[in-house]
Amino acid sequence: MGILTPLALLFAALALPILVFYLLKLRRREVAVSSGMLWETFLQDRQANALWQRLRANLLLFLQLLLLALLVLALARPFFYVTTAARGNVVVLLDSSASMQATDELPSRFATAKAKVGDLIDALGAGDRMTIISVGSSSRLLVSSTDDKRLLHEGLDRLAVGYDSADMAAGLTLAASVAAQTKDSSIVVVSDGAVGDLSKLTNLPASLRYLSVGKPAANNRAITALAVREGQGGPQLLVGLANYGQVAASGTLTISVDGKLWSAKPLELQPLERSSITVDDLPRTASIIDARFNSNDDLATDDTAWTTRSGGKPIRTLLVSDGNVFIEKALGLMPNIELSKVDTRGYTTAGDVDIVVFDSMVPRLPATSTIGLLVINPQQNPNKPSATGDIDARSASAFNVLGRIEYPQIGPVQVGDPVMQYADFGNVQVAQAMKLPLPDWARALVLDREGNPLLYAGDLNGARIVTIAFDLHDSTIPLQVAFPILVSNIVDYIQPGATGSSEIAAVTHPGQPLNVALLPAADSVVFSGPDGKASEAIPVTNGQQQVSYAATGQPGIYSVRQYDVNGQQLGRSQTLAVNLFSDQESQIAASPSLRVAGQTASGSAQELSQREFWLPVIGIALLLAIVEWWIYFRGRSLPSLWRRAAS
Amino acid sequence: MDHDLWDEAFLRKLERLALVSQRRRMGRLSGARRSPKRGSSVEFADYRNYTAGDDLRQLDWNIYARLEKLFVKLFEEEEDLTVHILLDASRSMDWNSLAVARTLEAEGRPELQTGGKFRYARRIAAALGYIALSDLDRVYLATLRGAAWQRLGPLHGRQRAVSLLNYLERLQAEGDTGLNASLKSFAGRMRQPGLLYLISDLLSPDGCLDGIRALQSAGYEVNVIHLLDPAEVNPQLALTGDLTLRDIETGQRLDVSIEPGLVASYEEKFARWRDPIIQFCTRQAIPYLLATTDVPFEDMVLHYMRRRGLLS
Repeated sequence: MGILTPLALLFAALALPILVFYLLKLRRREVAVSSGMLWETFLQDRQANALWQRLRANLLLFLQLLLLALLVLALARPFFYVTTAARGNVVVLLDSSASMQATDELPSRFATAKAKVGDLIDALGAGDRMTIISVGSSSRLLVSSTDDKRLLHEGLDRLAVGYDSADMAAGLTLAASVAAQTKDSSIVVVSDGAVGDLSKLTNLPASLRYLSVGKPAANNRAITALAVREGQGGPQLLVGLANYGQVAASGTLTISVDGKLWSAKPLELQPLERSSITVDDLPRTASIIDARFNSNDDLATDDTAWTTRSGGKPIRTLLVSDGNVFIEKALGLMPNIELSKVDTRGYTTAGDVDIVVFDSMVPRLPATSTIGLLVINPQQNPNKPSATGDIDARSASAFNVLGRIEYPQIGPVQVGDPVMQYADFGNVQVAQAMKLPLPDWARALVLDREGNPLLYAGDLNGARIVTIAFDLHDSTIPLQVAFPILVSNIVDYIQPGATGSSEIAAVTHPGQPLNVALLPAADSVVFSGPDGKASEAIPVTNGQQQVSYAATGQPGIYSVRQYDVNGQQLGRSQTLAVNLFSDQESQIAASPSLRVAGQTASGSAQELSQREFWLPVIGIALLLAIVEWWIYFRGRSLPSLWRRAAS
Repeated sequence: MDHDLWDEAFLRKLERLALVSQRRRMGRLSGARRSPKRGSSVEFADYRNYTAGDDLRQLDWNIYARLEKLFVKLFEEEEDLTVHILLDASRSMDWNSLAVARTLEAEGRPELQTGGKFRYARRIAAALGYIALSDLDRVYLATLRGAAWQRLGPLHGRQRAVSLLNYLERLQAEGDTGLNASLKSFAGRMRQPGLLYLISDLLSPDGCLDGIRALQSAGYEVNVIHLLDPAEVNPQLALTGDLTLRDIETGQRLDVSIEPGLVASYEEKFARWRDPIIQFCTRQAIPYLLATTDVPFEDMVLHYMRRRGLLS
């Protein structure tokens, strides 16, 4: 205990006038009365109360001196020492990443961390201020530089733990900028140590303290990877597992397809073991797959992973051809293409299909613009255009065949275009090709040396069209490895998301934005998250190719629906998976110290802070004043009660 | 010198009033009164209780036969009257409560008369004496101090009023109060029964009732004028706070703290002291008047005295 303002104790000298007044007050004034006769008989009764009167006078004097003492004490600003982790301008970095959900500290590490920050708030002394920053994949300033404890507690209570990965370097940079504003700053990091790379930080303008939550011996098992690819017999699932703990663990790997349990397999993992499992023979129509490894570990968030296979639904393809074994084979290789064939004379309308392939014929644009077109070797229409459900006038202008080209030499190739991805045209030779002008709605992907387009793609009134200007039989391309890749790319282009190639899809972590390619006719997009709640319709500006969605805090399956101007849904809804997959977060063994910029901060550095308590002292003084008032007024008429009681 | 003991206008008023006498007395000189002399025209006036020393021939036996109580018949007789004015001149009569109030800054200042009790008492004595002299009665003035008494008189005729006034003016309040003793002594020594006015605060430690009884037995027609300061009736008018009270006569000191509880008890005690006196006077057919000095003197003399039958 101590006194902040010892000089205020001099006010105790006021006790002297109080004593003097009291002594004076007790002196009686002498007056003459005509006769003491009546007074005498009366006063004989009052002998009993003389004692009380004397006592009362002394009691009041004592109370007033005590009151003075309390007020002087309050003026002197007394305090007692309180141990706390930090004082002055305190910047608290609270780790709210996925690893803080671990339950090795009950109810959870995050709850324990919040309790520790709460203690820090309560231990703030006079003149201390606090800033609270929550650290996840991005850092957020919750409460800025205040000494209002209620505000700090409110901001702390509102904070919820996240599923993302902690970027403590960014948090420390933000904290350093806040701490640099005043001199007596200290930074307190409340975390379990899973904080990423801190080596880039050079200098911290404040002392660093680290409050560790979590146990070093925490156990965690996680699914580290989940991917599906198209195998020969059907979709194949690859599951990566890891045991981050020091003990062997056994559990059950449960795989569900489209919400229904598909298989459950017991597994055992040795300490620090990483393994992977392949699961074959998933149903062909599998669309959403989730894997769960239940082993009663300390962190449950990383025990579940999702993946999607949007190629699950069949793509109905109509091949209008008089026989083209190459294209048939290439399409047949692709998973979930439902191929139907019709010869060129039998073709009337496209019908209810997703893709129409016109091979060596006069192409006719279908009425609906959702149908993607692959036009191979378009022929010139000798007849006048006639309308039987198709827009021939448009077709005529779209595929205006001008003539033929003999032995075109392959010239510039747009290798960066998605249609040309991985398709190597270096060794392709073409015997003859149709001479087609490049329409203004298309972009040329392969040109010959004279600039004639041999392969172009584009967007005509909402329909995606790819045109190959030559017959496949007239070139060497069907015999090359580029051909199926090209066909796959083309199918993917004219029906976005159609193919099931997700094996090289990048993982979207919680907090990272989802990027979705837009269909040509899309006017608005709606995202739904794992909690089922749909977002607002995001409007699409003209010419926008893709849309980003950043509210991916929670891992799970997100679905995307695209709508045209009339509110009709375009195509099918796409599903995308967001997974944690973070070694940094899954390694939940808490570290007892933190090393930053050459400083090592560990948990238990304590400081002495001064907490004043003049407020309760004033409260007691007020109570005393009330008691004194009561005694003063009661005492005056107490003797009459006394006498009545005595008689 | 108190020149304002009275003024000319007031005297004229007094002249018109006559003293009422309830009994006829024998007198040496003829006055303007009727007396119950035998053989002269005897007029029956009134009854009163029998006291020791009364003439047994005046007893009314008819009443005794009926009520078994002794009553004495009173007759009227024109006779000149002796008026005795007994003035308590002890120190307790000279209490100036206004001065005390001013010292203590008590609340009752407007009600307190200047001059105190003794001045008031002397004015009453002067008034009574003047009226008696104007009516050609014989006036004696006795001052009571302690157990002793001093007499001025007999005074006869209007021209003696001046001596009476001067005597009263020079009078000082001294000594303590011992009414029983002084009254008994007076009753024993003075052999001129007549009308008697006792002007006193009756604050006598040894009591006063025995003395008054003695006066009655000696044949005096006693009238009690109980003179008190308002602050003696209600102490809060002059006293407040924590005080040491000093008795003017005995010098005894007493510590009190003036509080509502104390004042209530004082009033209770005061009533308990005064009620027996009133009851005694009523039983003995002694006119009793409580006079407080806050009543303006003129009102006092004219209205109160007339109402009480002390003056016509």
